[in-house]
Amino acid sequence: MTNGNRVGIEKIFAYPCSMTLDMVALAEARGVEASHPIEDLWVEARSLNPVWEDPVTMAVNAARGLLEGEDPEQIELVVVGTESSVDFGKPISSWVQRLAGIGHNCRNYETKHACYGGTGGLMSAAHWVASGFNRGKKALVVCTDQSRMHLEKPWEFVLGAGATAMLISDKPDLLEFELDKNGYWTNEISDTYRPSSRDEVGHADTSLFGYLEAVEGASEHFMEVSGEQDYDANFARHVYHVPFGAMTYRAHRAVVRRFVPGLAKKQIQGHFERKSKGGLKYNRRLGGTYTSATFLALMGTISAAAESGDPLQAGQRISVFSYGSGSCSEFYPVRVGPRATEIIANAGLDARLDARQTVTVPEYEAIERTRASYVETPTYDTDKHGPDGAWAKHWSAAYEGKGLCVLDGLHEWERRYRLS
Amino acid sequence: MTREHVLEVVTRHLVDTIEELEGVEIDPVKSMKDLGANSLDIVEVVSCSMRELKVKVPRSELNQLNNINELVELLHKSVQEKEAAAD
Repeated sequence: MTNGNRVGIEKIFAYPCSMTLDMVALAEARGVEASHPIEDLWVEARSLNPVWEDPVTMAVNAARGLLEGEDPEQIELVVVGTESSVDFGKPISSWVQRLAGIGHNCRNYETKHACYGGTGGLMSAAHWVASGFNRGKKALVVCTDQSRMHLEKPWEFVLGAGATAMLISDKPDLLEFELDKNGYWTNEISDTYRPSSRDEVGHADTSLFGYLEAVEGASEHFMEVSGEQDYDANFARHVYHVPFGAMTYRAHRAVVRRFVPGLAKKQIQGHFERKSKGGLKYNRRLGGTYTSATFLALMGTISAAAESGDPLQAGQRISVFSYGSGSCSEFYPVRVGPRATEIIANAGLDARLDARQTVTVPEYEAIERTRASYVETPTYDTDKHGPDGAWAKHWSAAYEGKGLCVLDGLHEWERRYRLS
Repeated sequence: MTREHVLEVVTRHLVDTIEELEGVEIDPVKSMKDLGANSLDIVEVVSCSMRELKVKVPRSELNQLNNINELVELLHKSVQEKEAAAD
């Protein structure tokens, strides 16, 4: 760092929701070959919320998991990145401050730029810490998103939900930034957007073109400003934004074709499998997580390396590419911190994923329809019982008395959250 | 730049993207889909070709193409327009 201030991610935690839908079951129900989600897209399952959870509860639950054992008074900035917000004016960060027990002397705001919104918020928080004007205090950055309802649409296999929370400070135990080296790329296009409270519009080809153009534009900017030319030698691993896993192979191929000219065509796949594919272990199980996607891939990268018996070492570097439709992207290096493997193991994400309740396709459809019926409704109580009592068991097993943030409903538009 | 050169660029990226096509003679009357390309492959081939040829073709025009020849025509037209503007 040119100004000498160290900054990075001290700790991370992910909240993967309490329910899951298997993609092979969904493929069967839709009359689609199972190979489509598994081999074409690399998606095995998606996370799903019961109707009493939403992007606010996920954000709070991720933040509360992160802050276990931490002093919340040390946080003076709360940023929530999302493209799934529940209000045009009131930010999710305001609920996170109160329900995660953070003090009143803090700033809080929401950042929006499709899947890039969390990275944009993270970088502004990191610059605040690096500025030295933070007086030694920390930032909490949360990414939270859930897909809208898309029953029986061809793109139903790339949906999902989830939240990640990160503590940003001058003690980068997990990952350290090198903020003066970040490359970025903005290109105004209309590829995916959420123009109403119900709709989530996507133009697949435009988005894929936009993504590929962005990975080249942002990586080229990184090479230029960092002065680093050896993409292969400088990075132990590579993380790319994950709309669905298979896209990251295309991104890797686009970058290595340009910046690793010595790599033969036939070696690219092996190179990708060695340096990037293992990191998708969590994304495969959560499905599309929008703002959280690259952070889940970072967690997966560190976890997969440890599982392989060759954990990443402090000082090794990972390249990260974040892309948000619309569009903005960032290509940046992170340096593995001294406690990275331990922090990821403590986050316990594998066990949290295993603990999710598996729902059938009809159950998933009933949940999505009920959730959609709440949209633009000023007063309702979230249904904790479900059709024929189907959801009551999940409520009592996974929520009652567990201290998780839940939405009880709306009263004349006011959202009523509490800890269960 | 000749049409043959544009065809060479497109077929090279096609073979680079879909390994199974190596050594296969590419018939440009066929669509990339006929040759086994999925939608991600097609995006990658077009994206790489546009970058190498330094042209950008609107997505709306790309969506209407039926085969490789039509893609080559469209890219060649863009290249010629760019060359004419530079003269």
